[in-house]
Amino acid sequence: MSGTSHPLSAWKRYHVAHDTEYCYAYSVSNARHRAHLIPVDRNDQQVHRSVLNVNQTLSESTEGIDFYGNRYRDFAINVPHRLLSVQARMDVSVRAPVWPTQSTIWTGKSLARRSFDPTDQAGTRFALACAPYLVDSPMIPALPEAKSWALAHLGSGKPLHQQLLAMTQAIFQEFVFDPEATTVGTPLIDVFKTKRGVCQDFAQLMIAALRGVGIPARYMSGYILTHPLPGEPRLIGADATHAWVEAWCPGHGWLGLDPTNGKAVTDEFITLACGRDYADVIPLRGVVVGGGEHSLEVSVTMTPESEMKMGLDQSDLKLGKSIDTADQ
Amino acid sequence: MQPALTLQSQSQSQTQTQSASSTLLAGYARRAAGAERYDELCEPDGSARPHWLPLIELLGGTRPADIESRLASAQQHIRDEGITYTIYADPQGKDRPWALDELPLVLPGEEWASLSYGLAQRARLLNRVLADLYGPQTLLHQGIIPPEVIFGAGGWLPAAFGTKAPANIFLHSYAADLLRAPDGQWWVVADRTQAPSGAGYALENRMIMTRAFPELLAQMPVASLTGFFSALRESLALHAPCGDESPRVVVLTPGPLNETYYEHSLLARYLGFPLVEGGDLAVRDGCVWLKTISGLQRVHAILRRQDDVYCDPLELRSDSALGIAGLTDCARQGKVLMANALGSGVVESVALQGFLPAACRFLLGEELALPSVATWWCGEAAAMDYVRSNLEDLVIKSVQGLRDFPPIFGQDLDEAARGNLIARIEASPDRFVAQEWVRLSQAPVLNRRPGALQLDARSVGLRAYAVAAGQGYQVMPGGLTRVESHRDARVVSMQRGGASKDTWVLQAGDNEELPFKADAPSGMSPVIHTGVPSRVAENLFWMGRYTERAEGMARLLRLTLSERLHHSRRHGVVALHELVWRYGLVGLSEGSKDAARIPVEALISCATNPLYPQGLAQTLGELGRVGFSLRDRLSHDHWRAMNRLVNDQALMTNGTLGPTLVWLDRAVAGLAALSGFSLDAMNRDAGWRFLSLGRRLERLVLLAAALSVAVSQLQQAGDDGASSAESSQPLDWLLDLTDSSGSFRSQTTGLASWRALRSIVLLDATNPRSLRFQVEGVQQALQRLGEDTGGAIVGLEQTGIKLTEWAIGDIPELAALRQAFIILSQEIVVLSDLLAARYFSVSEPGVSLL
Repeated sequence: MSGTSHPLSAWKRYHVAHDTEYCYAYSVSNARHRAHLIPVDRNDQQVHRSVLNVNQTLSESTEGIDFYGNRYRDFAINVPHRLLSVQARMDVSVRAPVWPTQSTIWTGKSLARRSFDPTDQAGTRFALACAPYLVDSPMIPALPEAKSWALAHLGSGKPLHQQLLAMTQAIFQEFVFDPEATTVGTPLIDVFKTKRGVCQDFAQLMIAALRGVGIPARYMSGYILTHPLPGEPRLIGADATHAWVEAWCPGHGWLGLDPTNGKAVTDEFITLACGRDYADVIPLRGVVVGGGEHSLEVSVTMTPESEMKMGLDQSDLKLGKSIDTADQ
Repeated sequence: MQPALTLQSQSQSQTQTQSASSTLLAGYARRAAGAERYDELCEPDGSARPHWLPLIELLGGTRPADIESRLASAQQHIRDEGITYTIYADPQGKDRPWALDELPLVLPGEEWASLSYGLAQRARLLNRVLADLYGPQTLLHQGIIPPEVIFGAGGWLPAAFGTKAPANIFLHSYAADLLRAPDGQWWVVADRTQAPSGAGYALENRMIMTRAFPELLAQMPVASLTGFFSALRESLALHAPCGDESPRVVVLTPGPLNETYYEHSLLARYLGFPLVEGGDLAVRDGCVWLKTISGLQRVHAILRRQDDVYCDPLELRSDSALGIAGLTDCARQGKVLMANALGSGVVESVALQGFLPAACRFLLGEELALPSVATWWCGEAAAMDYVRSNLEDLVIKSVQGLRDFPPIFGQDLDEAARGNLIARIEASPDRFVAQEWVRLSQAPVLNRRPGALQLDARSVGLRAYAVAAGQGYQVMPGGLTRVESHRDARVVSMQRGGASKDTWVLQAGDNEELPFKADAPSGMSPVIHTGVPSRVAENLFWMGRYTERAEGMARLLRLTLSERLHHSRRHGVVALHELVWRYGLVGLSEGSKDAARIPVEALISCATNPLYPQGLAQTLGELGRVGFSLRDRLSHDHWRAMNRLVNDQALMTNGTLGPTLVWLDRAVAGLAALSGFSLDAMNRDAGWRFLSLGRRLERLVLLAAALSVAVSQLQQAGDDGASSAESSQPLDWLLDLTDSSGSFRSQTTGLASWRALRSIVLLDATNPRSLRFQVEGVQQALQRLGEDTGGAIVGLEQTGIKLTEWAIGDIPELAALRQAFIILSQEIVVLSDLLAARYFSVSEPGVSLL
């Protein structure tokens, strides 16, 4: 692609342990789940190994690739259970994406095609890649507030990639990270009003803003490396799943931006899945019969290869049936 | 039966007939003139179009009174049949009676032939478009359709991408909303491809018309609708991916709360497929299964009447309680035939319509024979320019459909508002579609003024239907004509309170098959019957219980009120009041111990007032609700009898004694008739056994209570010093309540004392109201059910043993009897729970986790 003169940076290898536990008040007689917990090779990502363990006997287990190119695993359990434990383990290498040195000066006009012409092949390619990410999606409706907010933050006549980064930083500065403020079901407009939320909220909010002004934007689900305080050991399970945004930058392509941390995506991000919004890429969803109230515990540990000790993850396969999802 | 009326009245001569019809026509022409729209009946000069003449002449030759009585009978039929359509926006709109204007829309066969060709071609095209969009997407890659139009459409379903539809048929059932422009040309204004509704109502309209005007349909060569439905049935059975098995097809409904539930049950009944709800189906091992009382049975094809996004809480809307978790994946793998395929809503997008002519040339190599009303997707610059300068002649719609915003008519807006709208469109043109505004045609409707028949003009639109058949599509020769309540309406919509008409396509020659009928598929496999779904079994059980409970209540209230009226038998009055209380029909006021002081008003209210908690009216209401959900399993007569009873005019808040007693007579007779239908008009399959079990268990509840009350009456009398109460206390009330007078009087003429009637009420195996009769019936039904479903459950064991002991030995003393009746009451509750756990509980819905 044009505007990319930097040499590609080096690969960094990580191990991720991602555990999800559903504990039910009563027995679940039947459950059907979909896991978006299998990373795939991408431009700046190589998957060496990826395993899913489930603590129950599975009556069905199938894998597929969805419309957005993500791998998913469907599984069903038909023995009564009160505890569902899903362990995802993966070894993945990532490198820092190339940051553009130049891009289009954005004039405030939508990037969507203004005129459909059957012979316009470049336009067709653009539309095939981007049209799904320009329109409303189930969890991201059109929001006039988001659009005005975007216009206020994108209007300075600089190259688009710089403005996108500025917008990413603006969210980081204007919004407060507050896990108590929202839930999975909190409408986007509330996040705009309270200016509080978590990574999922900030990603969806930035997507709403970008789509509002005609910039294709998609939702990314995955992990980010956290840094222990100097001298402190890495705490197992203290990380979380992460969400960020990719925006379309003409002349460059998809550009990874993390509004929760106010920066561009680096070699410390592992991508699990991409989609229009959270609903397309929920790491583990399911429909269960019975169960009553449930509690959910998620723990994530992302460890650089340099810190890996022998035997750290020998406990990986202690649970029931394991599913090798990738072995490369 | 109505009297056999001849439409060509004897008393009128040919000339009179002619003059009556020309008066009718002239009146219509006068009122209809001046509209800048196509008139279905009249030529511009006011003369009737030839294909209407036979109908107008027949109408003119009929006495207005005859017509009125026909109309009344048609409307009565709609009420009796409980033909309903729910209007969501109207709080009173629940279960609104179906609105039918009895004058059909008549269309000539030649005109229909070309329309029919166009509809079949359009269905073929949309099917190919769907297969392409959820597969190779050549249309998008080649620039035939802009990807923006597809991905921006409300109906685009990414989860359906890669669907392998059996026989590559995505679109099994198609409907088009047609309108006729002032120049007489038909245009498509909307395509219905997800779960098109109305074909069943079209069928129902024809049935009503056939009943009300049999001679008209016999005298005019009206094309029959039945071939359309057999084609649908055969096509689903033929293409169901069932391997070596016989195809099992179900009709999937969102349930009785849906606006067109009546139609769902009608279709299921007419096609012979079971009507199921999402909770009745489950996905196992990549296939869809029906939960029946005998376990899971594979389902190969689903004719669905619910929208795409509600079909699967796992992959689609997680908040849908109507869906089947995992269904999308089964459909994608081609393991189940979905009619129509999930995701087929995408081609309903108005934005697509302008691109269909090019898609038709590309995919079929044909010119599109039946185009849409001129449509511009504002995402094209040229279209946007056109919209900017012609807004007043256009209708603006959302690419996402009505849910986004309702159509905006440019002509309604002043200059400022037009400017605002243009600005709104220019801000995100991809979201908007403009359509040419075409005046709807008008057709005659019957004006119901008494004594004078008059025809008025109203706006009409036609919903036409096609089903996959053979290599192409078969079009229904007719359809659902929708008529607006006023003449200048710009849209027709049942949701906006419009009415409907039957549509008569006249065949060219007498008794000739229409030339456009597709070949029926050959080598069709028979459709097999499914086991009884668990939900159906549960509803049948409750239908049995509610029917019997209502009958018990009606008998008890009737008896109590008339005893109270005559004050003749003191003991009986006290006992009956006690029973009314024990059976839960009235509560006693605080501190009151004397059931005889229940006010008459409370009894009347219990018998008639719909607000009285768990009174007769509410029990009948429950019966109606359960019956409605079993609509597809009941015969017409059974349904109508139930519907009449449930909607009886006596059920009101301020009943009085006289009419209440008359009503209770009517209720007892009506409920007895329902029992008759369940005996004679229903298949004795496993489902029927649940109905029977429900009835018997409920009868036992009342019987156990009545026997307990009788025993305490006798014990009380004994305590009061009456010697040998068992032979001297009269128990006529028990005799009346258990309807056992016949058996009793045939055996004795003496006093109805306990000694005299106890063996009749307890042990007489020939008395259908005796305790033994119920208990043996229940146990036999459980046994048979066990044979049908593998392993019987045991119920009423102790009571059964007691009855045997009493039969071969002696009927014990009162205290022992009292104990036995308490055990009986407990055993009834236990059995009811056992049945629920064994046969009903599998319908529990799933909960979504995110």
